[in-house]
Amino acid sequence: MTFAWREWTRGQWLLRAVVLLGPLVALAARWPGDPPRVWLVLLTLVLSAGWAVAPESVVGAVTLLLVAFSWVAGTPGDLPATAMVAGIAMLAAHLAALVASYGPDALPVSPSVVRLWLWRGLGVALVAPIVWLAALAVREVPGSGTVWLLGLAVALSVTVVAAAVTQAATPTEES
Amino acid sequence: MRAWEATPALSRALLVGALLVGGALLFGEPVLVVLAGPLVVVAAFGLVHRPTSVPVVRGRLDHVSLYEGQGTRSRLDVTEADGVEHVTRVSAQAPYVALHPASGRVGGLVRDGVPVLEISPRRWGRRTLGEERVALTSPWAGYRWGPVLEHGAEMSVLPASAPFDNAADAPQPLGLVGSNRSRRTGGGAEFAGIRPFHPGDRLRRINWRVSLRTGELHVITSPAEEDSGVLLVVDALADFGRSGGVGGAASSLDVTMRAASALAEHFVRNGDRVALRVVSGQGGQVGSGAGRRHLRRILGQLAVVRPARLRDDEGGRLRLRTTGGTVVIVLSPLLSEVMGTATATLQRRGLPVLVVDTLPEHVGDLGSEGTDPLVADLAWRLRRTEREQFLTALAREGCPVVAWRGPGTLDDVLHRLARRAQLPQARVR
Repeated sequence: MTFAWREWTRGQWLLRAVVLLGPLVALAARWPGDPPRVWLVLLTLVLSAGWAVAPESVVGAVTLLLVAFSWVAGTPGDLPATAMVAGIAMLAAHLAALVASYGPDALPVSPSVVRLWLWRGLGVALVAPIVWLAALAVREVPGSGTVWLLGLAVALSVTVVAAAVTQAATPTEES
Repeated sequence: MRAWEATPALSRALLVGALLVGGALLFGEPVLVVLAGPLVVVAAFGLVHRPTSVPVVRGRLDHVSLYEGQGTRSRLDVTEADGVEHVTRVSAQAPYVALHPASGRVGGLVRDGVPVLEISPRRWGRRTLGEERVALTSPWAGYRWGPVLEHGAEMSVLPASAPFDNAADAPQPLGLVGSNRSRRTGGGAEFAGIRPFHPGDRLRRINWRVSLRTGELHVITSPAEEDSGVLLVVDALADFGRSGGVGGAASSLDVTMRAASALAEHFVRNGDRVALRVVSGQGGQVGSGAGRRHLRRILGQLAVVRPARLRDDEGGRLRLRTTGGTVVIVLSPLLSEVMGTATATLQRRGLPVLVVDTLPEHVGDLGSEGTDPLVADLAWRLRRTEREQFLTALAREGCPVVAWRGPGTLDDVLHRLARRAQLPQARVR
């Protein structure tokens, strides 16, 4: 595998920069007053750089998981407002990697594609505050642990079933 | 891969979303759901928009026949495109084909129109465009179809006509109607002389001033204007030098083809009958004819020429069959004995023959890779010496040789040939 970063267009550089910075921003949002540990920042930086170079690689998922689980490592049960910032930063990195992987590294980035995903991203970003408010509201309810378990289990099941159904309904014959 | 498959982006969103939601369940951490929420929504949209169509893609060119240096567009027809949001095209580079964008990579939304590639062939001949990889992506980038390989289209690239004009008449016009002054009188437009009226003369040719002065009717005579036959002989036995395409360095075959194209265009425009004979192992000829359609045939034949040596038994019996009065123009780098012999034979038949030397001035290093430069240099010097001998032999036969330099290349030579044609000649048959 070769990484032709010398061939990247300006648009590709911008997208890769978002991929690189997104996880770091999400990590920094966890500790607004207290910086995260150096080894965690370095590890995230290395993984983000790898993801920026190869936006289709599995490194992206590892980076996002590392950042997300670092959120629950220190203070369990906490639900700060900066979680919304982190969620949106992770979403931005994911979408930037998605647009960058529409073609080879040197593919010029179409402005209309960027505009489309910008609007979509802004729309989807609204999910973060909605879920945060919902989580905040549910946490106040007595016995919220059961509610969480049930709700999330249903959501997960729906996602899995939907994926399985759409997978089965697609023609796969060679034409 | 001709099937819709999940993109790495969808897999990533699903994996991260599922693990974070699972983690939230296991550890009772609602913050993980906040982080996973947007990714799960993106994944859900990607899943919902899974296409069910089986797209068919087919590349096409706006023009399949062009002059070198001209440009056209490579388009992609996508049928059964339901559920296709984005198209990516990656074209491989092909020799002597310039692409725009130069990387050969374009992508865009289907709603803006399938992206087109601009193509410009830089050298004459049959050009096969580079293979193209096409990938289609569904809305929300959930699924990808391809990349599939599309074979490069073929195009016929005609040699660019170098600027050429010629003010000299053909030496021996022997046709019907044309623009070359003939030696015999006829219905032309130019003044030749005044003579007494004969029965059958046209009344509008009477010169009344002379008739009144002499007391007898006199008419103005003018030379007939006739077309001429031109045979272009193209030496394609080998290609010397390296071609940089149109606007770059020219090989001997580049000069030959562009000169032949310019000459054919000039003579056809002049109303003359033009024939073409390609001397190479591959052969190729176009019979005598006139008109734009005939010119296209000649240019089409030039576009398929490839350098190839003659078989050993063909070299000795090369005959350039042509009729009397035809002007034979041999375009050759004069590095082949076969061409020298054939040209001298035509010259001895009394045909007006002229040779256009198409060997570029600065033919670079002709040695192939791995050849000792000293050996290559020595071989090239030997070839140059043989070439000088050919040129001397042709000069001895009275055959004019001119280097191709565009407009006016043939003026002086054709004037001389026309004067020579008026002298008594001894012909060898």
